[in-house]
Amino acid sequence: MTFLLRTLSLSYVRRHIAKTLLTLLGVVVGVATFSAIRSAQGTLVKGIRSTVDRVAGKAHLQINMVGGVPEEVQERIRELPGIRATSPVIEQIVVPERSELGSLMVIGIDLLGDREMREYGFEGEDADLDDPLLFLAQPDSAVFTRDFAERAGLKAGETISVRVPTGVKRVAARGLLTPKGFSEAFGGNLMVVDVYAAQELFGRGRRFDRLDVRLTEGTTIAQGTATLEKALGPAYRVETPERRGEQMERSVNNFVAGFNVSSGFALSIGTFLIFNAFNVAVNRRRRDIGTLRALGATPRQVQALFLVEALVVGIVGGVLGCLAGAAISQGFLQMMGQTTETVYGVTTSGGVAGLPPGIALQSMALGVLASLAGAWGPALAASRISPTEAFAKGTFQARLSGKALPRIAAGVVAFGCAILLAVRPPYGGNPLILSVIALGGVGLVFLVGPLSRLLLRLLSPLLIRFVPVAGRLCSDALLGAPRRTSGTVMAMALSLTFVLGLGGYMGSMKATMVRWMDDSFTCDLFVRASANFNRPDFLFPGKLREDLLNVPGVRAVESYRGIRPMYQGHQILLGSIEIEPLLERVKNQYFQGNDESVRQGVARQGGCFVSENFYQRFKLGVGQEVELVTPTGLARFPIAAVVRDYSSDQGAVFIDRATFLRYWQDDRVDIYDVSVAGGVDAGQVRNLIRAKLAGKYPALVTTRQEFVAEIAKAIDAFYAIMRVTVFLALAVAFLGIVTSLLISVAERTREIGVLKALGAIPSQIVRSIIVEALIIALVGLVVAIPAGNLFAAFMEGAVAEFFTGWSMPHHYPWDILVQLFIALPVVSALAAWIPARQAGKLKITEAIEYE
Amino acid sequence: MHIRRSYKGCPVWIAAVALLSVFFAGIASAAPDARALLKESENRHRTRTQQYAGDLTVVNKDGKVRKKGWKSFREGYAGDAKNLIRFTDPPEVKGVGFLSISRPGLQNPDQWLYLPSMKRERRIAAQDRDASFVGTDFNYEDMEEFDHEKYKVALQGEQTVEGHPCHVITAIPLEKGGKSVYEKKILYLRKDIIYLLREDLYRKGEKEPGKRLVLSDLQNVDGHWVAKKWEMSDLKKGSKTTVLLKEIAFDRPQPGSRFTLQNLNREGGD
Repeated sequence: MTFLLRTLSLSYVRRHIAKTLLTLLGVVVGVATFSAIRSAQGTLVKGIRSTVDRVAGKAHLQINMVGGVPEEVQERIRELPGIRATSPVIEQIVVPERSELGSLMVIGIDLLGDREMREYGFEGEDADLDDPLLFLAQPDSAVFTRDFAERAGLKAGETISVRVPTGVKRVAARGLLTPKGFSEAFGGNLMVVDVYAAQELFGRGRRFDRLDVRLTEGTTIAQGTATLEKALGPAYRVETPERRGEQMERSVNNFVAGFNVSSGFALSIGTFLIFNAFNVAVNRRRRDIGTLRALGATPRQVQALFLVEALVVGIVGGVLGCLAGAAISQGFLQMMGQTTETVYGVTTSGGVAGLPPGIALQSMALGVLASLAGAWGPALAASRISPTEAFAKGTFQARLSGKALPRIAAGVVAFGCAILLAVRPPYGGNPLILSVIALGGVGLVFLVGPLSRLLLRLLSPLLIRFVPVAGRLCSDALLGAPRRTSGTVMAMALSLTFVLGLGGYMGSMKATMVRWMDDSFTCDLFVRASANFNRPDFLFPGKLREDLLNVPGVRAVESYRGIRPMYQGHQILLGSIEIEPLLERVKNQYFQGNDESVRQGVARQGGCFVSENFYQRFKLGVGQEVELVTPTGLARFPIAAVVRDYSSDQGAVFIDRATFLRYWQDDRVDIYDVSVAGGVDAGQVRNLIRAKLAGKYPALVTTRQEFVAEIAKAIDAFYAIMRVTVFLALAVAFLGIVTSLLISVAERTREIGVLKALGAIPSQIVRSIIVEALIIALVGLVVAIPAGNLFAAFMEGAVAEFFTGWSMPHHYPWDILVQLFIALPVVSALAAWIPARQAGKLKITEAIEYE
Repeated sequence: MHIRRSYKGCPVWIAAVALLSVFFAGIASAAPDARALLKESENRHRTRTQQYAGDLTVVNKDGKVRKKGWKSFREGYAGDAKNLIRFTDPPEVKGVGFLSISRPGLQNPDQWLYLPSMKRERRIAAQDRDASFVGTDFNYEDMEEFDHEKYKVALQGEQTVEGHPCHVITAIPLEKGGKSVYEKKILYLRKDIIYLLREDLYRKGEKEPGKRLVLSDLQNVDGHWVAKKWEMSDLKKGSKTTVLLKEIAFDRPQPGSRFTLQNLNREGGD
């Protein structure tokens, strides 16, 4: 085998270095995408868990309540049996004015007694904080980690400006933490402040974000949990820090899981490139194979030879892919981090995404597998070449093309099953998604070859008519090498299916949400305290509504408050607002009930209306009740209507503000919806509101258009990484065209020489190569249009419904299609440029001698 | 009694001292009993009220010095004591207040700290009793009135401190109800006036005292003995806090509202 590898394989590689490198590049890009996404995903999740764990310190349990834990709860639990210590915590992300320093996690804790809970690592001058009394007595006091202080050039006693909800605030570093334990949380970008100062700073009122609890020795977690749950009632969540970390991880995992599909696509496309390359390599070396067989090599040895080559390509490509993946994973991590913060309100330290050995091995294994899978068919075909066949030109290809019918049948069956599964799913979730994608992929693989040949035959007369010489040359080249053509078309079709499918899904989602926002967000101005839609950085006091109503030009103000309680294991949204005035201005799309039933049932009788996805997920509609745990006890809210709503991917319940105040006894507000009087300029009212709130409250006053644009931006951020993976898939397909054309030119060297000898001019040869590239792209696109449409429909239907319960009308991605029709010819022509030049420059004598 | 007040006004240490003074004379000829000594000390030094101004100096192990000033007011004694401290100096901490109100039985007293910047009080939890009292070498437990009823006491013998013969008494906290930071306290009572001169404080698990309180510069004010200088040393950290008492007065009437949360939260309220 070593001998065979040295003589047959190495000599081939030496003669075709460029082609080998391009083949390798297919694996590299696939593995790089996969490993980068997995590394970034791993670092993101690890960062979330690590921050939760480190900040939790020695806490065994954490007490949370939707909307915050009232201060008095700490007094209630202090004396309970088994409780050694309790400590209030407020967490908030802020950004220093010097944004290059990165986000800072502000931890508000009670410095008087928090050492029972966390190791602070004060050393030297800071052994007991510089002056604890001074720290507590000065509201601008903060403690930073030494690491952060060094990066910021901050010394004890000096100040730094940070952006907090109320504006830019200077805080003084009264002590520095040595980086160990707690102070390593959030990558060391930590700012510790007094918890009561944090209440003031972040509008928490007399509430904490949570209470950390340390149990006495001998008290088990179960005992502690039971004691606390009994004392506090069901409105409070008592859980271990690990569980809280897991929960945050789960919500983020839903988001990152989608990237596995993306990287899977990239690897699949790479597999087809390898298939293509090996297929051609077998063709190119069939005489060598014949010689070997004549000299006594067994079919198994021949197959093994090609598989070992694939293994080497897989390993080398895997290693290079991992290195490239490690290099780009940081970019992915940043994008993922921004999205999880914007969409889920979960922030991580944005640590450094390395390449853990586990992921490196996994990625390399996938690279090798993809390579072996791609080479399997060609290797098998090579092993079946008889010595006599090997020396007869053209026999090999002709024999293979005879197997079209069973492949078409298999493709139709697989594709049909995929469609059937998607339309009438017998089961749901990830198994369904995987089954549909796998069956659809297999179907596509089987059908692409025959389909592309059919399309090429149909296109051939047209080509010959419009570009007589180049068209004929190109159509002969494509139809004469069905395996190479179908491999390239397959890679192209897969990536375009991916682009159209995901693009279509993203477009539908965005269009649907924009339309919903147009119907729902109908007031003139939104007065918000938090830039993040899912993590309230600050809440307004309820009394501010009266002040806003007194602003000249303001006609009406509604107070919206959204909290995210757990409901049957899902973190749903519970929104509250003054319902009656809201109904006057919004256009709800009802699945059940109507405006009147909402007016009666919600505004007047204290019931609720729910979102369509809540109805789908929990099977609760009009006539039934939503049972929610409130601070005042368990409460049941009769459902008055089911509406289309995209506020939460886990389901939303809406109640009247009066009902919320009655049960939750918390009058704080997230957003004030302001409507201005007729004929009044909203811009002027905005300025008046800004002036009124200046210095007192943070106020992001946005017009309706700005508000909608901001949400649309958040949606775009959500899909940003998907776009990158789509781009990578296209890059792999582009490589496919280059490789395919290089191989095509090499294959036809002698033919090109003969053509030139017969009078063909270089420009005709160049044109024929470029046309070949265009045709491959066009055929790939034609195959991908229906496949992409089906994929988009599947994503919008079964997948979206499984993850969010949302239904959305399909919007065909015309925009993407138009972009592809413009971009593909340009990209294909570019891909053809080098092979075409190579063909154009071939010397007749050398070309005719080429074998 | 007198000594007791000084004990009260600030750290724990003084209380023990005070208890002992009275008793000593009466039992000079008999074999003394620790509980009886402490009761006698309390009886002799008990005052209705006490107030003083304190100059506080904290010197850390590197020699860095921080100074503060406070005013202290006490009403009651030992198990029924109420104590208010208001910081007067430096300007950054002026107005910071501390209120401690004893609770019956073996329960720990209620304690609150008021921060003018927050305009609100914060309760000191039992878990925080070992935390440094505003950066000094006293902790919140040291700021409580010493009440011998909360300790199991035993006479260990005699020893001379600063040239004065002293009774040496071991006090071990009774843990039913309340919680103590300390495993053991050793009190040194001057025999002639049954006044505390020194206290060695052992945290849980410590073989050697972690902290030591020394009372000195004893003077008789308004007929009551009082140590005008207190020194609390953290023997492990190597830091030391000294309080010098000025403007000492006993048994002056205190307004009833002085020892309330409302008063604590009143800006500048004494």
